Amino acid sequence: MSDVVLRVAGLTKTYRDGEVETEVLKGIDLDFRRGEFVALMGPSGSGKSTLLTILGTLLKPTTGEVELVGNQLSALDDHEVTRFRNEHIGFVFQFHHLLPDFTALENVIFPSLPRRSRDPGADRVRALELLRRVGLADRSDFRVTKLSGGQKQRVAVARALMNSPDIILADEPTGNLDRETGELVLGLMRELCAELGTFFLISTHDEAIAARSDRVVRILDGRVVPEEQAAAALDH
Amino acid sequence: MPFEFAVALRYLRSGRLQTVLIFSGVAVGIVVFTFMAALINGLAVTLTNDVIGNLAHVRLEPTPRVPRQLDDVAGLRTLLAVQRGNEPRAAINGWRSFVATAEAMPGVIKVAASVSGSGFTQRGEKIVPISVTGYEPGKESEMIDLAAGIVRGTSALASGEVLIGVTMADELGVTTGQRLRIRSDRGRERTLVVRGIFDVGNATVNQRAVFTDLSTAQGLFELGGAVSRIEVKLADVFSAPIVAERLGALTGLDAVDWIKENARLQDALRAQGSTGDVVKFFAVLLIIIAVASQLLLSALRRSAEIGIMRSMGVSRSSITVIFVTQGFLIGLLGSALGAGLGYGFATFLARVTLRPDGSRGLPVDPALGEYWLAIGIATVAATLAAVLPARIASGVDPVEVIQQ
Repeated sequence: MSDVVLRVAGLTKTYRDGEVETEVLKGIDLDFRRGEFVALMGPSGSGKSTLLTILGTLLKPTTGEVELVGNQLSALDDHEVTRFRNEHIGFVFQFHHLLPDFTALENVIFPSLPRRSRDPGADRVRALELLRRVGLADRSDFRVTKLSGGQKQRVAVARALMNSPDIILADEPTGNLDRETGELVLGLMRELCAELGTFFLISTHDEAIAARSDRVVRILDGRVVPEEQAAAALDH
Repeated sequence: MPFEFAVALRYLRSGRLQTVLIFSGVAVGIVVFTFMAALINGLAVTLTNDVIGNLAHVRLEPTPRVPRQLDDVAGLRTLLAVQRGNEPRAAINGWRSFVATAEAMPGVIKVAASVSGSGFTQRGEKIVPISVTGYEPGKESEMIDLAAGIVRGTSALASGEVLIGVTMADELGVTTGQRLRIRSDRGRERTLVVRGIFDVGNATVNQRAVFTDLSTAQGLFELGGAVSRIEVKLADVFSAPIVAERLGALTGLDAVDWIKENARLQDALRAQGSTGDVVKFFAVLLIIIAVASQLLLSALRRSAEIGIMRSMGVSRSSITVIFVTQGFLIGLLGSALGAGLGYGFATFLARVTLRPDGSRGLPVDPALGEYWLAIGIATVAATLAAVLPARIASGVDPVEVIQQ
């Protein structure tokens, strides 16, 4: 049980727009273990992004509970949630979302900046090591606007790992890359997952990613469904 | 360095053209602010000096002798008119002790006892009304800088000598070494030698004033060893009301300060100052609007980055600090630049409008530009102007950014 890094129980999310209510998540129960590499799949509008956003503490569920490394997120106030996110969660986005005014090294270091107690020298060493690990040691002082798409996404992966988070949430991380570069980034994440023991949850439509994952969680109409049911639904 | 400061600095550095424009905007506003201050304050000093340059800042005078009606006799009505006679005017006896008291007062730089009165001067058929003032030898230039204004002869007076203005000299056709017959309003006459002719830049003084030595004036106005008044100059001219009150209490004499006697000048200076304040207010208002709009645009343009920062665990308060710091830096550095330019501009104008005699063609005094005040106000104003954009930036929802 101590291996469980993220637990979701009875999670629902309903959006309200005036009188109209839309139930996007309809009761999600999931456990994820440290070092797991999980693909989160489902058709557009199935609730993947909403689930990822809630797990990333950027959105509050309507009901249910999220427990991350033993902490009930509902018990934390806004300020604590922000600090918790900084310390325990890393994000990789489809469009990398790097800070364009900063170099690759500064982008990687950035998540460490809000930490109360930090050692700038040690942070710099770690950031350089992460850039080396993603194959961009020689690009550390480049403005990120000067990097290619694949290089930017590798910087984004290094940035997500900067604070040694317990979980990495990736939303279509290869969706904006060509196949070869996508394979490279995916392989890199897979390696880092194994090497660092960090839990990766990858939201994707790409079956190739699913094939290289430890587990696939499929969502359909706001519910987690077994593989067969999902396949049948897609056939229809 | 706090990371918020580093990010703010980087944002300013990376938006080069916008940063240059907003810095220029703040700097121009401060040039207007400081130039107006240098002009209005310089004008106030020039006007004040013009007015009080030829005046004592405080005058100690005896309480005037006012004839009064005798008490009514019981049961009868008194139908008498009260008229003033030609008795000797009130004078200050034992004035040397009062001079010593005034000289001992902090802030007092010059003290001179004087006798003054009116009369006529005659040369040939020409009769001119005059105002006669007598000072102790060596103190002629204590109140009016006659020595600096002498155009002929000398300002050092001996007994039986006078100094007259250029206009009066022209009017009477007299020059130094020649004699003038003077008749006082007490009916006493003396023939005095013109020792010097002055031009103090004041038409009334040049036309009507006659300066002589104290003993001659005492004789003309029948004052014996007494004086009409004691005149005082101060280091800080605006402390005159306080000094006058103290001297009045210490000597028992009537103490009159120049500010009370020149209320209209004070009103004019206040009105002029208010006009300057209005211009300065609008300069600061423009700075606020420029900084707020610039940072608002920046907040909107960078909303995606802000959302990503929030997703990385940067708090709302840190986002606020990043934008407020930008406002602070724009205000501080822009106003420092503006203050430097304002000083340079005021100095340039003061130099190019300088007259050959050393007086200012344009009353701009670069030293009175209120530069530190301008920097302080602009920095606070720009910082406050950043609050609204900062609140908008800190309210960016990272979910919306990510889903876009």
